[in-house]
Amino acid sequence: MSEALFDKDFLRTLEYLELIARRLVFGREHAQRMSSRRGASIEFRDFREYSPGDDPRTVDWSVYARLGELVVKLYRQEQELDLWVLLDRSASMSFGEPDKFQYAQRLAAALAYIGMCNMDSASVLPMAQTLERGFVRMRGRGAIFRLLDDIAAIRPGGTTDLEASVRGLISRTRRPGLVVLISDFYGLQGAQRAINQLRFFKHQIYAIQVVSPWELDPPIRGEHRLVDVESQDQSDLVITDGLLRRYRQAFDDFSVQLRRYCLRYSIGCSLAPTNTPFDEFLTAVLQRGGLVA
Amino acid sequence: MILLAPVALWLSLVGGAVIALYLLKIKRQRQTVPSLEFWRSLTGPQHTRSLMQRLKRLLSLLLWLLILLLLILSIGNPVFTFGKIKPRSIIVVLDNSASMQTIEDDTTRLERAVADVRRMTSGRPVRDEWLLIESGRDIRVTQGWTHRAADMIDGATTILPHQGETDLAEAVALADQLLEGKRRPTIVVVSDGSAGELERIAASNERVILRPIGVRRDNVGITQIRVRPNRQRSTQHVFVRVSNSSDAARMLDLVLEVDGTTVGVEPIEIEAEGTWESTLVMERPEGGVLRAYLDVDDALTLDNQAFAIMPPIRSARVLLVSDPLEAFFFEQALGAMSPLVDVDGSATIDPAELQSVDWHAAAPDLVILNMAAPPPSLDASAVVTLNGLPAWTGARSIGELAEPRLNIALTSHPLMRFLELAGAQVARAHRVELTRPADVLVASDEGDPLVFHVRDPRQDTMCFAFDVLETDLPFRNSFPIMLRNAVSHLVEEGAAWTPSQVRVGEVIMSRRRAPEGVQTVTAYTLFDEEEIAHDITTQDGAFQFEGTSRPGPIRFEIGDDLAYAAVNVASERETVITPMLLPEDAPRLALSSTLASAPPWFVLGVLALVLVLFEWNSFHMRWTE
Repeated sequence: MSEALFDKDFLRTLEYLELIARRLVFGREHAQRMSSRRGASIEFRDFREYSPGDDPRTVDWSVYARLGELVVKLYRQEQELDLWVLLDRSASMSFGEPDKFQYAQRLAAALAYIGMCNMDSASVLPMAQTLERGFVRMRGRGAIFRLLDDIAAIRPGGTTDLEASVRGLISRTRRPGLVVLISDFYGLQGAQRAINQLRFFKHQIYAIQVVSPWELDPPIRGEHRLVDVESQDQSDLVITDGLLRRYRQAFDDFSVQLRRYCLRYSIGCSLAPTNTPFDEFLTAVLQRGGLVA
Repeated sequence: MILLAPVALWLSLVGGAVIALYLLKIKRQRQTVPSLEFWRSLTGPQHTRSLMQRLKRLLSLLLWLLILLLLILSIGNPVFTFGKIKPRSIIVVLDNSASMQTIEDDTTRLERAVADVRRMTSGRPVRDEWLLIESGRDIRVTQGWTHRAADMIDGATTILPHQGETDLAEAVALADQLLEGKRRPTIVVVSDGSAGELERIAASNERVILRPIGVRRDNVGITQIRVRPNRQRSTQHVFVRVSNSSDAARMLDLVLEVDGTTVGVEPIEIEAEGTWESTLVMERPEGGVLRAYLDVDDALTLDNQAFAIMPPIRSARVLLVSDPLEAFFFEQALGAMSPLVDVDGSATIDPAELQSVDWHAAAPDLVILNMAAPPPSLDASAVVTLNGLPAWTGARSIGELAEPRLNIALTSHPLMRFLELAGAQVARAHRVELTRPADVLVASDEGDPLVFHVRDPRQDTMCFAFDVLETDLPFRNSFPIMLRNAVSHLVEEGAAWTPSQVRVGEVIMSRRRAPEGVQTVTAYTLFDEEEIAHDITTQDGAFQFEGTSRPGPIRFEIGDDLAYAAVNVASERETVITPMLLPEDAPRLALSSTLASAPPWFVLGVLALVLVLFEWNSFHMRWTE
């Protein structure tokens, strides 16, 4: 386990977050969430008219006796819920102070721990050009140290292809689950296509946009040679107040577009500035209830 | 184009700094960003070292270099010719007469003239050749030929104010000589006009360009003061003329002081551009130093006072040198002139005794030589020669005139006062050739001089080119009057050691030789109530004094004797300070062209400022980098 990344304080924070999550999400919304927990697996939901082909066992004969109409009873189908945390490890995530990737690693670890404790399984998969091997379908608290080691072993680098990575996830999963995308989401068009694919396959999606304070308000002025951290492309720019104003507006628009897109499809989305302690951020997310719909 | 302040070119070193700064600017600070595309989406397509980018950078550099160039030129105070102004050889004649001491806005006209020389020499956009002549007490070249405006300015600033008259015509004549063979000769006269004299000079000389100085004309000044003792009545007759050059009538007081004591105040009223003159009679037989001043506040204070020497009135001692047989007529005439002539103190000697006369002891005021062959020289200040032509007069006989008629040629001369010679005739006379300037008082019908007056600082001589005893009755009747005029006029002027009155700057030359043994004469000037002693070494008994730079009285101590002289501005030309008006079509010295009716340095400075604003704006609008 990486001492620097996941220290004892981090572990205590995980415990705290898990308790918060159990109370806020998995306790309160127990009836609304499809779960494999015993004792609550078969639950009546509604009636509808019988249609040819319906299982005759679902016909409510007592209704038929009283009203003479064939109606079938609908039950909430029992389903396992897997948590898939897709962690963007592209070079752009290694930017910022504090480091965006470290922040994302902690978020991923915390979410995975909560998932391991409260859900059917939790996986943390790094992604760059494609989805990579990672920490897959782990359950129970006992795997926490392996989880942390695996996450700490991930190194940032390369470029991001969110769409290809999501395709890789879809090919691996047999049933819909909760997919948390932790990324900076540069290349919004690709991100939207990736989210769409997940949406089409009935995954619940939560997008966490990790940003550094530098990206929100770059503290630079004057003549600069800007170097793309992923492609190493360069561009000479004179950073003026006007340009910075336009930059801040554009970055704000970029984040708003992502959130609006997610909102349109009832997808949870949060902006995670790295100068906000990750536990505070996650607590806020859990309190909003957007993580597990 | 030339730069008047070429030191500004040192600023071009800043250009190197600008380029260095741009080279440093090219080495940009590297900044890693998570997504360059994001930034590019804000600025459009950006390619390092793209042609457009290079041009933007180059444009910015060029703009700054242009701004720097404009600033250098602006500070350098450029002047432009636009090809219209050609180099010339220019002589600047700077008027340094008394009228140039007129105060105009707390500066004298001379200071304004110097400033004009600075403006003119600095404002010429071509490489002219300059020379500066000061027209003051003397006409002198203050700065020789030079191409540097700074030399001219230095030369002009060394000129000290002169408080007397000057001769601008002579200065222009000198300039004309110095311009011989020069390319595009030009004479620029910087003056207040010298009471109209300059217009006449300019009209007769196409090389002359006038640069008028001054605007004020409110001046009243004493333009003439003369004292003539009336020996008959033992009174002093003081003639004073006051001129008003302003365009308004003035009422003021003329105050008269003798030896520091006010002896009279004369209220006077002068019309605009008019004169007031009067002869005031003062009972001061003992003489004294007269100071007349005007109680007035005007533009030129120099001419508000004037001085005159009132000589002590006494009878004249006459030494008649004549054959005793011919002396009777002259002795009778002189005897009738008492008290004008001191009969007892006068004497008659034979020409043979002339060599043995002790001139210092005899001290005659007038010597009358009635002899055909006068001595080659005579130690007397006033001489009347009859029938002889002394060598010192420069007159010589070249023949004889038979029975010439006498005609008065110069009626206004003091020696000709109260005379009427119509029809007078002499038996014969010398045909005289004059080799020195002389006033011909009486001439024959043909114009031959018969009576003439030769003025010399040391010796006034009145010559009769005929024997007075061989004349007709009309002349014999007139001769005593002529003799009286001679005693009256020549004694006043001739008996004095020095002329009683000179103009500022004029050299005072002794009229008589100092007694033997007197090697040094001391002159005491009393200018501005400060007495300063000047020792003058005599040469063969003669002396001269040049320290007449300011108005005031001068006292000479010559052995045991005293003499006085007064130095005055007293000039109509200097008192009339009305500046000349240059006609529209008068030739002018072309100076630097203006840009948009403004000085070039100003326009260039504004242009630089506009470019700075443009560069700043273009930088923020991202037209440049």
